[in-house]
Amino acid sequence: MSFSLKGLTANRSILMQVGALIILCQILAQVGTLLFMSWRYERPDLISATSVVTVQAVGFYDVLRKASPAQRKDLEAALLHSDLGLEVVPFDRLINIPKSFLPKHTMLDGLEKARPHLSAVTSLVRLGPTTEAGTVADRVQIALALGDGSALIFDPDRNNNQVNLPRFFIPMTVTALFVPLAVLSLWGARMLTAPLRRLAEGADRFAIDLDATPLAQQGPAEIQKLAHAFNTMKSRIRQLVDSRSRMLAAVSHDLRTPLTRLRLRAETLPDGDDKERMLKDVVTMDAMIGQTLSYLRDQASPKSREPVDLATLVSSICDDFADTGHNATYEGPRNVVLECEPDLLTRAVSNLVDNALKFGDVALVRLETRSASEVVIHIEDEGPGIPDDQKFMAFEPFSRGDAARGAPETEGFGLGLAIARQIVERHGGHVTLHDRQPRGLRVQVVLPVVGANVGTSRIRRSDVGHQNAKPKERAT
Amino acid sequence: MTTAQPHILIVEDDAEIARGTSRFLTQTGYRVSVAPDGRSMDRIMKDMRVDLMLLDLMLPGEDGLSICRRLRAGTGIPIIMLTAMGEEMDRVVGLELGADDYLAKPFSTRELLARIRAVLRRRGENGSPDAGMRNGKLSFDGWLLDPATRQLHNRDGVKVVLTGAEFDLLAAFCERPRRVLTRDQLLDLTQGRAAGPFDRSIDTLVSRIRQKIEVDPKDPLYVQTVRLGGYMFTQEVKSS
Repeated sequence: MSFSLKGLTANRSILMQVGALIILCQILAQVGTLLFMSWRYERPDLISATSVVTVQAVGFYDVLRKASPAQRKDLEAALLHSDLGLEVVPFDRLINIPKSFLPKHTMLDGLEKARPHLSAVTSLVRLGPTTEAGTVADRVQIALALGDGSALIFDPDRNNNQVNLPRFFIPMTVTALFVPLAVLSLWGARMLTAPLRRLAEGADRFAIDLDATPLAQQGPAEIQKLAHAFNTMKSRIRQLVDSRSRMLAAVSHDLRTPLTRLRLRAETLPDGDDKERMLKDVVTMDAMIGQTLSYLRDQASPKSREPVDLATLVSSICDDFADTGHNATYEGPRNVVLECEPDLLTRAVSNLVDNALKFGDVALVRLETRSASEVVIHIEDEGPGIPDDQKFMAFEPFSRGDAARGAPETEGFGLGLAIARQIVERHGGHVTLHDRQPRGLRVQVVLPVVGANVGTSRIRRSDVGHQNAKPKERAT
Repeated sequence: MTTAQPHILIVEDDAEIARGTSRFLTQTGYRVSVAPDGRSMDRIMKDMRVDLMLLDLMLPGEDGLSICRRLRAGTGIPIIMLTAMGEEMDRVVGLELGADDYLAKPFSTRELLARIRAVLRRRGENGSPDAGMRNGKLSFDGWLLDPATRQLHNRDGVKVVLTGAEFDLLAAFCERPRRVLTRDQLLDLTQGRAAGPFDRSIDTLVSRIRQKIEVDPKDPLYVQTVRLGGYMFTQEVKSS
């Protein structure tokens, strides 16, 4: 495991950064503790005076001194059987070691500092075999003279420093402290960043859907404030979109009333070129108003999805165009069920088919279920296509890319593709433009399948193209 | 007032549109009255029998939807809604409130005339019995057909999309189930809307409908061909 802070901050995840920070603090704390402990190990004088063994020994010393000879006998016997590490021995069995032979900072220093009244009776003794040159072995004990030729001896190190610190301490801390703390730190950081993550997800939802439920204002104060700001911003955008839509709807409505008058007036004119052209303009203007209205309304309208047989939706569009004398054909399965907004999707596909017919005279529409989670609609034409550098612009609302494709200026605002893309993206899909071989344009609409299973059945080729339109059957 | 010409009431607040429409319909042979709002509409209806109403959606005072709802509760007068919104929602709402048809402004007089004729014929100038059928939902073998909103749902509740002509034909079948219908009869029943020059033959429409609703279009169960006769819709149809 590497805890390089730099590496983790580069990850840009707050979770990892906070986690790394906590783990780093842990490491520092551990190292600090380790240093302190080993320093303390070097200074036994600081602990011996207060160690349990010393306190017990001093206590017993006082009791023994004050006891009657009979009591002393009993106490000594009791000590022998106890586990206290205290023992009364005759003085002549002890060897007094001069302090100068001892390293600095022995327990004796600490003891004498803490209990000055004992200094007169303490002496250092060593039990066990004597080593050469009078050096002191590592087990130094302290004797407290009882004044009757015997002494109470004890080992102040009995419960201290018996462990080998460097060998035992590190793996123990690592396993017992570091691992759980690291896990807890990561978990804690996760908890801390969870509200932020939820906020980000919520904000993501806004980007797709302005009617998404407002963000919950919970978690840390800063996050609550941020959520509140997001909610306010969302409702402001909503209001903006709404008021713009209302305004344009009103304008469009007000435009259609004089347009209706114009149309009625034009229809009373004697038949001729002027009348035809006037009526055509009325139709064009109406189409432009309709396009603008639907572009704005599709953005703002609340979502209402239902399971729809997409195959019948697409083939009906083709049939409708074929029925009005256009060369539009459908190829694909008979049934494909998709959760969608049928009216909007109809408009999107109609716009694309309409474009194909306008620029390419032919619209070949193919539907395929690419996988269990995706359906694709291809709309192909045999027109001049769109050069690569203009493909992106083609989707922009009010772009006049149409002119480059040879469409008459009066056809509309060029909102057809923009509306189609808006609707497809509203469904979570995407529209792309491709070159068709040998010529023409292929518009590809990919729609994700949500909810309903994709049910498909046999492939059918549209039975009604322009070419094989039969004359109307009527009894004669 | 004794003439048999149908009486059409135009409820429209724009004077010129009302006048233009009125003039056109008078020339066509209808008797026409004009009301600029709901109140004068009520006055006219108190005095005269009205055979069909052209109702604008946006009116001063009581709006078109409210008038439509009120009239539906009281009378069976055929209503064609006129609106400048032209939005799918308005159409569905209007039709669900009981309007017989819907026309977006700016409309052509030819289309208006076709709609008026279709509604009058459908409602039956002499009070045809299938007037009631027209507004109720029809169901067959788990399928649901709603003439008001012009929607069809299959047994799984999945919306199946039909073209206008296909829907009219299927509705005609559903209103006359288990009867042999000749192609001529079917043509007459479905030509209510303005017939365009590219209208499909009944055979083509039947073939398309089969593609959309039959399990096996080659071996149809719902719409069967009757040799030398025409077609028959085989299912029992319930109206609700």
